This record gives sequence, C-alpha cells and structure tokens, in this order.
Amino acid sequence: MLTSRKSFGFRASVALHAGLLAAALYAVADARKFEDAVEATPVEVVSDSALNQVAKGEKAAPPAPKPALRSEKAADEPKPHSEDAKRTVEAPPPPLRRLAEPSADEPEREPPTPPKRVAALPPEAPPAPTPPVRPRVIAAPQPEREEPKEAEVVRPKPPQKPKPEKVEQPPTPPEKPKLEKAEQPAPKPPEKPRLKLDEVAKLLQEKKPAPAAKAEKAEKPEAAAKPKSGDESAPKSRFSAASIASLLSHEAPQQAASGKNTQLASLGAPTGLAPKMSPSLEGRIDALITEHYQQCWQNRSLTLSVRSYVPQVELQISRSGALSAPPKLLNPSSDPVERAYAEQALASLRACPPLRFPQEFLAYYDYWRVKDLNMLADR
Amino acid sequence: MPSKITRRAAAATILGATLAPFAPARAGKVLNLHASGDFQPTNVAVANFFGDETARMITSVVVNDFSRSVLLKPIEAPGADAGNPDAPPNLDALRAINAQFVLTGRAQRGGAEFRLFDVTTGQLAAGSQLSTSAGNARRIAHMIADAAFTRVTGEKGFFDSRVVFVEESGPKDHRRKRLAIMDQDGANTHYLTRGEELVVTPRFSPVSQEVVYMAFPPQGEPKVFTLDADSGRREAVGDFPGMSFSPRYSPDGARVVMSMSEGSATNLYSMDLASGRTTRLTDTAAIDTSPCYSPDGREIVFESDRGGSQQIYVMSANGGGARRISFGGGRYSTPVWSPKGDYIAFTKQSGGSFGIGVMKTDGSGERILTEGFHNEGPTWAPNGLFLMFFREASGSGGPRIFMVDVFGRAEFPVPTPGYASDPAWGPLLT
Repeated sequence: MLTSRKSFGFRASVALHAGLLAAALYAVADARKFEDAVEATPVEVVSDSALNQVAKGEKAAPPAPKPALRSEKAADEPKPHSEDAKRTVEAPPPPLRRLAEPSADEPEREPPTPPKRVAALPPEAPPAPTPPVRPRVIAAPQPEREEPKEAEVVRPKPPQKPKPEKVEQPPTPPEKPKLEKAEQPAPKPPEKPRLKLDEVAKLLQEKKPAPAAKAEKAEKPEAAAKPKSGDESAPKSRFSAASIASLLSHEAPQQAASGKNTQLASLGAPTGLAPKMSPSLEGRIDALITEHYQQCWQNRSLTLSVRSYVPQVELQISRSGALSAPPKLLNPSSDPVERAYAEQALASLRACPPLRFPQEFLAYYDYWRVKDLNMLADR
Repeated sequence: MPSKITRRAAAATILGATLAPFAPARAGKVLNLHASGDFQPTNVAVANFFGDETARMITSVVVNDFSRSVLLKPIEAPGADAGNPDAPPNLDALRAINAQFVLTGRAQRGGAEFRLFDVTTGQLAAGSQLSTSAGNARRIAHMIADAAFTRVTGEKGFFDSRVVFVEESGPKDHRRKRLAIMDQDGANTHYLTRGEELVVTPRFSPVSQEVVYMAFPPQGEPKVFTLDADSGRREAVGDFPGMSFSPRYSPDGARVVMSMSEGSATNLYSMDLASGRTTRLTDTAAIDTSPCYSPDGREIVFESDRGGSQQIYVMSANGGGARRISFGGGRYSTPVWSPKGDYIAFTKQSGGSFGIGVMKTDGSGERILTEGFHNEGPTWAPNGLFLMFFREASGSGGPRIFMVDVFGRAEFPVPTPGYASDPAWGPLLT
C-alpha cells in the first residue's frame, strides 16, 4: 500500500510537472505579442504648497534669468531667523523722523536705531536646497479619475477641471506677488506660486516634463523624462497677467501646443491606451460591430450536424473600419464539413464592406481594434 | 481513501491554478454573430470546359448537378477564356459577380481535367485529371461535380450514383411493372427485367451493384430475389413456406432482412446470403414489416401495428428490445435509416394526406419535408443529405419520382421515361 501510494505520488508528480511545462510552452508560443507601450504625456497638477516649495528653488540652481520677481537670494543662505540678521538684506534707510527741536540743554542724541526690519526670512520650514516639500505630481489621468463618465461625452477637450482647482488656489491678482515676493518669500504667500505657475504653465505648454523635472528635483522620481531645469527652458516672454490668466483658464496647454502631439493629455497618445470606457459605451461599440458583420454572415449552414461547431474568428480592424488583416480562425477543425463551414464564415467576413465608426468612437480604438467573433449558424 | 482523494484534488487544483495564467489573453468579450437572412447557396462559377463536344456535355452535366444540389448554385463565369485551366482565373471579374468558387477544365474523348479555385483567396482548392472509356463522359462529369461538392461543403458527394426503380406502364387495372435503373439525374435508363412478373420494393446493396426485390411470378408464391444490375444474373433468396417481402440488405451486404407472413401475423427474419441460414427476429401476432438496418448494423428500424396502429419501432439487430419512437398523430410506415446514422426517414399518413418526413433516431425532431395527395417510399442518397420518393398526384395517370433535400428547402422531379415508383438509391460508384 505505502509503496503503491509513493509510486502513485511520484507518477502524479511527474505527470503534473510535464503538463505544466507543456502548457507553459504552448502558452508562450501562442501568446500574443504585447503592444509597445506608448508613453503618455504627463500632466501635472501642482498644489499651491507644492508651488511654494518649487518657488524656493535650490541652492545649486543657477540663477534664473528672467524673473525679476524672484527672491533670488532669499534662500541662498539659510540662516536661523534672527532679528539681527541684517546681512542678507540691505537694511532700508532709516525713516525720516521728526526730531524734537534740539535744545541747548539736551545732549546730543544718537541717531535712532533703524527700525527692526525682518530680514528675508530664511526658508524656515524647509531648507530650500533640499526641499522636503514634495510638489504633488498628479499624473495625466486625473481628469479621468475625477469624471470617468463624462470622459465619453466631453472629449476631446482640455482637462480643465482638475487644473483650475489646483492652480487657482493662489488666486490673487498679479501685482501682489511682486510685492510679497520681495518681502516674504515664504512658502505660503500665493505670489510665489504665481511665479512658478508661470514657469510651470510654460513648461506644460511645451509638453516637456519640466514640472516633472522640478518635481523630480523635489525628490519624487517621476516618469517624466527630461529633467531639464524649468528655469533654463523657461519661456522667454516676460511674466504677464495675461499668461497667468491663460494658465488659470487652462487654455495654455492647448495654445502652446508644440505641434508634436495635438492630442490632449486626457486622451493620451493616438495609439496609447484608450480612456476608460463605461459599460454602456462598450455595449454600443459591440452592437455596432455585431450588426455590421452579421449582415454579411449569410445563412449557409450546410448540414444539421455542423451546428455543434462554432467557428471563432479574430478580426483586426483598422481605424478606417477596414480589416487590417485577413480574418483569422481561432479554432480550426480537422473535420471536412466543419472546415468548409469555417471557410464560409471567413469568406463572408472578407467580403464585408468596411465598417464606418462614428467619430466619438475613434478615441477608443484600442477597445475595438481586435475583436473575436462567434460565427453561429442561425437563430 | 482520504489521502488519495486529497492528493488528486490538490493536484487538479494546482494544475488548474497554474495553467490559468498561461491562458492567452484574447481581445475582450467575444461577440456572437447569428447568420442572417434566408438560406443562400454557395455561388460556383462554372466556365465552359475547353475541348470538343465532350467538353460541352461535361459542362452541361456539371451545371445540372450543381443546380440540383441545393447547397451549390452554378453561375456563368465571365469571359470567353474563363474555362482555360492553364490560365489563372480573373478574380476581380469573379468577385464582381459574387462568385465564391470557379470551376474550369478541359475535356476530350476518354478524359478530362478540372481546376476549382477559391475566388476569395485566389488559391487552387481542388483539381484532378480523370480518364475513362469513350462514351462514359457523363460519369466523369458526375465525378467532377462530386469533387467540387465535397471541397465546397465538406460532405460526400452523390452525383456519381444510380437509382433502381419500378417502371410502370399500361392501364391502371393492368399495369406492367418492371425493374429499371438510371443515373441519379434520370439519364441512362435501362431495364433489368422484362416485365413478365410484377416487381416491387427493389433495394440496392450498400456495397455492390446488386439489387434485392420482391417479384410476383405468374405462378407460385411471391419471392425475394437478388439481381446483379451489371450482369443481370438473378437468384432467389431462400425458399420459404409463406410470402416474403420488403427485403433489405445489411450494411455489409452479407445478410438480408425481410418480412415473412405466417397466417395472420407477419414477423421479421434475417438471412445469411452465403449460408442461407435464417434467424427469426420478431415473434408477435402483429404485422411487422419494412425493416431497415442502421448504418453500423447494430439495430433495425421497422414498421409494426403491434400497438394498435402503424408506428415505427427500433430493436436490436439480433431481435428483441423493440421500442416505439413515433408518437405523432397519424400512421407511420416505410422507415429508412440515413447512411449518416443521424436520421430516420418515413412516410406519414395523416388527415388524408401523405407526407415524407425525417426524425432523429430516438424519435425526436420530427420534420415533414413534403406533403401531398400521395407521397411514399423515401430512399436516402449515399451522403445522407437528400431523399427520393414517389408521388402520385390526384388525377394523374401514375406515380413520378421526386427528390428533396433533408432540410426541405427544395424539391425536384427526377425525369423518367414513364411512370415510376419505389426508387432505391444505390451507393457511390467511385
């Protein structure tokens, strides 16, 4: 008994391993090649706090050419805050004071101590060079995340909604940033974000991951490839309210499209992954395909016995709706009657005219690019 | 044993779980397409064969065969040079006329060759060269038609076959009936008996060109005879005290099953043709008749009134275990088992009309293919897709033979020189 059980176990083990190996070989041989992944255009939504941190820059960063608004030296020398820290900032001239009429009796006074002026506060919370703050980088699909259902209706339009919510947080008028920046290059004030918004907007416009680069610099290694300094590639144009306004209105990405990729981030690249689809949309596309090819599938059931065999066919459809490859039979049969039946099915699909997809479905090409059909005899 | 069960279950679970991820990913949900519209035959363009008058005759026979096949529809191939087997077909022109296949060929006395192309792919689908004695060109045409039919449908052909039948002539009250044989398309009719004795219920052997039939000699009891259709040689099948009738061959051609009357009862017997030994298969007080073997020779379907009315029964080929399979309203008779083994054809009398129908071997799926004043005696084509039967219309002078497909889609008259009945379809000659 024990011996027979052991031998059974050994045989079972051998058989199981052999079966696994065969199945693996078969699956690997039969597996379809993965499509090359297309890199999506990243879209970053930067929070105000993140922008603040970005605005602080880093120690080693070369000075930015343009922004006059930048508090260039504010973060250079992080020093503990001190009332006596005057060296980093030129003390303003003492204010004029009305002095009392000097009397003969009064001794000469020393000139009044200039009022204490708070030096440019060093980046207190985060030492700027290694900003602990992580500007949040939210990937492109955010619009989808927020309104997956509307995606099917609204696209292709700029993903406006998420951005404004983030960017608008430092909403104050442009002038304020100027002043406040000089005085308070602190993370909180909205002005700094403004300045960086401009840079970010322009970077986004160029479709380069400059914001991502900044984000990376801020420590999060994101997928964005070119960690160019946003400063270096910063747009040449001066900061202007119009640019901020356009950024806030989220038209900037469209306007400044480099021409390379006219698709919006929310739509992804033309051959990239389709945006998420609702079941109803999938059903509509499936129904369109079914109805079209069903018209071409004539009732040619040859014998009654063939009804147990259902040819399964793979269709590869091009964007134009024509077949991009001959229909492929997935379950060929060695029986001559079933083979003839499958031939009829393939011939009917080949002879079918191209299917015209509505414009709204083109964005979901990846969904209907390859379809499998069961060619049933008749109802 | 608990450990065994656990081990096996575990092995099965592990195997399934391991293999599941390896299943190749497919393109999402599979869509179901149902064939739409009415039945459409496959269009086959038939080009005029190159050659002499033999080529023209072959083309004509092939076109006629396709037109009676129901599944293939012959259409004219465009272009004067379309039939040239040495030239590639003009696929664009053929696609324009919606041809799915095209048949080209060359023929002359003594031989022919043909090519069948798939218009959709442009590939050669079938082709062959055939030779025969002079004057046998019709058989070549039927063989070409069978080859094309098989390639297109995957089914065996039936064109190169013959049908034996009873040819009737003379006034109704003094009818002369003689055995005749013809090609399945009604051509080449010639007679096997002279008409001196009445002949009924001829049946072809499934493996040879022998025919078994019942004859009423001018003197004596009716008897069952075998007849070689090629040589004309005839032999009596046994010498029985009572009347024997409704004979039919076994699938291997070695035995004959028939009915024999014994007083008021009629029972079934089988007889070994080589030894002459008979075996009683039924023993009832009823009338059992019209026996027919299944294609595998294991069962026999027959007609019996043992239940009070004529119904269809199936029993073991050795006798015993008879079970009724017909339960529709009316009377059932002349059951015949399909060569494919999937259906049983029958005659059904109901409400004053006679119908020819088919049912599955367990009695389910009954379908009436044709109905009329008097339809009777179905016989199967060698490929099990068609039936011939005889019909006598009301007021007509006599019966005629007709052909119908197993789907009931089409019906054709089979031309005979005179009135004809009791057709029996023989096997393929090739």
